Amino acid sequence: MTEDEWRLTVVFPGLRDARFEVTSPPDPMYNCIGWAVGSTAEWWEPNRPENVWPEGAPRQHTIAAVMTALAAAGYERCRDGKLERDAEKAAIYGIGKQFTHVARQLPSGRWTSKLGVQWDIEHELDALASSANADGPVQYGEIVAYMARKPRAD
Amino acid sequence: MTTRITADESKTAAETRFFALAEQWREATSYYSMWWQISDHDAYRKILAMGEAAVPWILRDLAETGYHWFDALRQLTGEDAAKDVQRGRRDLAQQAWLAWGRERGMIE
Repeated sequence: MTEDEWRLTVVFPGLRDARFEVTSPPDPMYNCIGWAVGSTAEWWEPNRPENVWPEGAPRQHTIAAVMTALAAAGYERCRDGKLERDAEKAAIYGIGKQFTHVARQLPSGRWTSKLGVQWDIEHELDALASSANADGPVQYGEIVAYMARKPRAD
Repeated sequence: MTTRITADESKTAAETRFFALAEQWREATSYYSMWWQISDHDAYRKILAMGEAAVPWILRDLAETGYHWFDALRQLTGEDAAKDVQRGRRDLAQQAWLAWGRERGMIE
């Protein structure tokens, strides 16, 4: 385990017993939603002018608002996070009515997340949920919705 | 704008306090993507309470870390140096603020 990976298991204890890999260096220019929609240059967030948020999506941190924003990137609500042919899925994490994080499914069925300004990781979906990290310092809450779109050409 | 660093706090001590608070804030919030979680931290509120005097240090930290300083800069300066920058381009917003600071001799 690298020092970065060890640090991640301190922040997210749920990763200790799950397979995960760090797949990028830290980068403050994009966040989890930017990464979910396929960008490493965009920080998606509703309220601040330096960030991206689609026209028409409510400028709020609600689950409904992020689902509208992801719909602008081609996603539609779906039932679960099971791997399906011709579907790139996103899982939305939230606390109460507010969203906190979005992970994107890889063709392998595993998930990829950009963790704030920190690294991208490949991980098991539940390993970042609060139910697996109750004692950790960072809380994303639970998975509250799934969305899917046609896989991108790249 | 007002300077809220107390008279008995030397500039060096205030600067040391600023960077300690900035480190605390980053350490606690760097895994979050959403402002409602990032901004909800005591260290960040204490930095805002330092007032205008913190602006040069914020610019220095922004140059080094690219962290979430744009809101604080807008609040503490009453300006938006990045107002003409394309929405979503944090790199350009950062450049605009650093240019703003250099023009005023706040950073090198």
